[in-house]
Amino acid sequence: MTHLLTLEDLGDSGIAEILRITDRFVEVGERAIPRVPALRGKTVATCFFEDSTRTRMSFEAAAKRLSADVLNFAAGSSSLSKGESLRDTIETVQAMGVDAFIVRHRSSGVPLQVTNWVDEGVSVINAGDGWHSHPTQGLLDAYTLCERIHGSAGENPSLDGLHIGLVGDIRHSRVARSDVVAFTSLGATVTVAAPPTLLPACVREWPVTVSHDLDAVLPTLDVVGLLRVQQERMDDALIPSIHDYVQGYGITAERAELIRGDALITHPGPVVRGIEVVASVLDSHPNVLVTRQVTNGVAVRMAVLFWLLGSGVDIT
Amino acid sequence: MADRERRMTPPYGGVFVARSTVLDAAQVQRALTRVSHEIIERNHGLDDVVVVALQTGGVEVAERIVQLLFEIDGVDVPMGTLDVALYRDDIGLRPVMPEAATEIPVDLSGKVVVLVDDVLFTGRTIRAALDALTDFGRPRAVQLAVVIDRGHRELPIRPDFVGKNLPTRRDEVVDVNPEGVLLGEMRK
Amino acid sequence: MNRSCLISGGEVLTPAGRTRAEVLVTDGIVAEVAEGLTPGDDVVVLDASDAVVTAGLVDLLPRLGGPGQEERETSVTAGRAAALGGVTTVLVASEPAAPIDSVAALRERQSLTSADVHEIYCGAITVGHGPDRLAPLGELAAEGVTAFSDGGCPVENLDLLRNALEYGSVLGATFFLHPEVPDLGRGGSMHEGSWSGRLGLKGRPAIAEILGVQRLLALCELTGARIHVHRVSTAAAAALVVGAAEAGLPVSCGVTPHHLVFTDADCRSYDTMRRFDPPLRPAADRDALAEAVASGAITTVCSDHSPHTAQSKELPFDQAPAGAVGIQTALGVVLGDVGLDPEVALSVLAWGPGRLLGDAAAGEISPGRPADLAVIEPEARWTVREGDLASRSRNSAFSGRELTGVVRHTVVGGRAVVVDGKGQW
Repeated sequence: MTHLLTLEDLGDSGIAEILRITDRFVEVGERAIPRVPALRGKTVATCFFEDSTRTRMSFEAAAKRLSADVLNFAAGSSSLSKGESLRDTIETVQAMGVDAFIVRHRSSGVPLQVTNWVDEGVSVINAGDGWHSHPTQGLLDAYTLCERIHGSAGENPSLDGLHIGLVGDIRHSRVARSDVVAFTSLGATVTVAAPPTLLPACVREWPVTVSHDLDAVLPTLDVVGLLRVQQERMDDALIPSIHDYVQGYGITAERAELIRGDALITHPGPVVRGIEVVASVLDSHPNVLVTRQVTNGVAVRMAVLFWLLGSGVDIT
Repeated sequence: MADRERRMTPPYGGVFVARSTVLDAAQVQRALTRVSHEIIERNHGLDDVVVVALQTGGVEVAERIVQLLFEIDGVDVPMGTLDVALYRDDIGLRPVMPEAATEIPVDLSGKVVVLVDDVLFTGRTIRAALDALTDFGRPRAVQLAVVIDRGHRELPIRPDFVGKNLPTRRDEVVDVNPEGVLLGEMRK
Repeated sequence: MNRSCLISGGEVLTPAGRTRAEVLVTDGIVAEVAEGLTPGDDVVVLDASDAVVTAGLVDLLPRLGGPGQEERETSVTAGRAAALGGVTTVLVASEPAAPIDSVAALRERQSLTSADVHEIYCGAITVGHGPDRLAPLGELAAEGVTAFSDGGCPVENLDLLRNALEYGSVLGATFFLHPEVPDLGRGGSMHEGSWSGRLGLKGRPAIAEILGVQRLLALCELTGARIHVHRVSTAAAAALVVGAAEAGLPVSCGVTPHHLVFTDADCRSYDTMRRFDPPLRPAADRDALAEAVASGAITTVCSDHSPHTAQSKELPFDQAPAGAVGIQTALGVVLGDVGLDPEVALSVLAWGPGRLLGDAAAGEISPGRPADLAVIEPEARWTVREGDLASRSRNSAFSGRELTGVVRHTVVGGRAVVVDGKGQW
């Protein structure tokens, strides 16, 4: 496999292998000089057609720690007008000599379409496409939980026996979709909690339990996975108002009491304090893993880049 | 079986078939004992000595050496492990994943690092190890101890302490394991 | 211009059945149908041995380009594509980009004529296909326009639609209407279901089409207007129309070849060549529609020929325009992938649409009938290659697939425009 487009493509064995070698890259990150020459001479191009400084920087840090060169293409709303050929952009960047594209786009499916336009041997890594998939986020969330619970991913990464809840706008969340695949692949049980209008079509066919009663679910969760309520992607009239949403699904100070003291709290960032969760909860709960998720994000992305560009190994 | 051996010897993969025993277990133990004495003699004691095992073939050997150093001199020499997968110069040419842990428990600046591996062959693994070590500090000196030197060096690398010199053909395979040292080949 | 020919050695296939006979065409009209005819001087002989002679196909509302859309398709290239597909008559669509909403607009469209296919023109129901005013239905009817459509934009002002249906019904008009209620799933790019949930694409629910059809059937009953529901994609909506027709309402529906072959699962690789309007539905719908076509419950199949430049299709799935060219491949798909018998295929591709356009004897090949004919090898296989497509845009959903049914000759008004599979242009 030359690409990382979805976690389904990676499969259980691929997911486990990436998590396994992430342990190595976490160690690299802890050194005084967090750098290895593994991808020296390789060039990686980030093509972000949708704004995201954090994810782009994370990929960039990962590439640089592997001694790869990084080119950045950021299509602000001014430079890439709607309808301008995606293909032209990819082919132009590729002509500069690129070993991998890291693609983020607001439309689902674009990274897969890009694979049709790149040369043989050039890798495409999905950094988030529309509502569809964000595989490195799913991996880093899974890794962070393994690390927190077992100390590391280890030989046999596992989240067996864990009950994980995902709360928020599942329908428009590529993070949710990738988390579900990653978590269930490692043996966890997943519950999604959202109002019906923020759930994907046919969500009951997914390997998850669906709940509209967050208060009942919270005390049963080992992990509370908070998702953004994404204003920019919400069509009108899916929820009456933010206030209405918070009423049923926001982690208010009262609702936070229902979260177990030993439960872990995750969030892909950036956190919109006041909507999905009240600031005081994030600041005071002992097991908020947000920062660790960010740190591990670099290590996971190093693992993915090394696997695709350096290892020569097929892990699927 | 040193995975690196398997990977370095085309065709990749297959089953190791032994043809002869080079050293039996007792001979290996005597060789390691001699090597341990040499390490102590060369360094005028074990102050500032750190043993670093190359993953994965050098780990068991290094553990035995550390044990022997303690038995001989009464000093507990710190030991670390090093996986050089991320430093190889043939990345992309042959499949390799960073499978094993790198754990260097002390700052290596000013220390005498004794790198330990089971078999010295082309020297490229050791070159990669030297590269890796510089990311952990600036050692005062780096010395190399191996159980078997099988020749065919491709770089100017030489061992300081050798269990046995063993001339081999390129296509042969050397396997160092707890029962002894075997010479054979890979059969697909 | 030679408008006489003899089609000899083939089997003549009409709604009445099959017979071995020669067909002699003189000055654009079928002169004689009998065995053992010999050609006179200056009469082109078209060999139909091991082939079937039928009335030419009739395609309803293909998009043939128009003023300002020459990059995608011109009437010339569209006409050639039609001829190679055995189509001899098209009902030219009125669209928002080029609405046929006045006599002047009609004349302009008529001036872009093709030499290789008969064009019948469909008028707009409302001016500019907008929500405000009726188009001059009477004036257009006086010019011979008896078909009117909403141009792909369902008329949201139902009062206006009702008035149009009442006004037009006494003109003998047939209304070609798209059934979807636009608000449900607006902006969606595929069927709303398991696949849209998994692929992260906004979907358009089946109920949008079902509700839309229910409205149209109620309006049909109220006004008595003849309504053809264009491009049905769900089994439920088709069943409603078929049931209403059986109960005596002047209503019918049509489907496209791709809705008889592909399903929403085929969108899984985000191939923009699988984005259609209406969207591809699940297998149960596709299978039910195919069965309804095979049984004759659904009486027309239309290509829904929609040319788009290659560049415009290289957009993200949710931004790419919907539709594919198909006028040249419709027969091959219906005989091949869908696997219909030639009689059924011709019934839905030629005779049914012909009757809908007012030709009560559509499909007959007898003295006095216009010489719009096709000679077909119903079992021959061929693979769709973009280079063989005559339309200016080559966005075919069947590229690289093997189809069944080759058009050997096409005769339009007595002129052989395609001979031995080659266009005579």
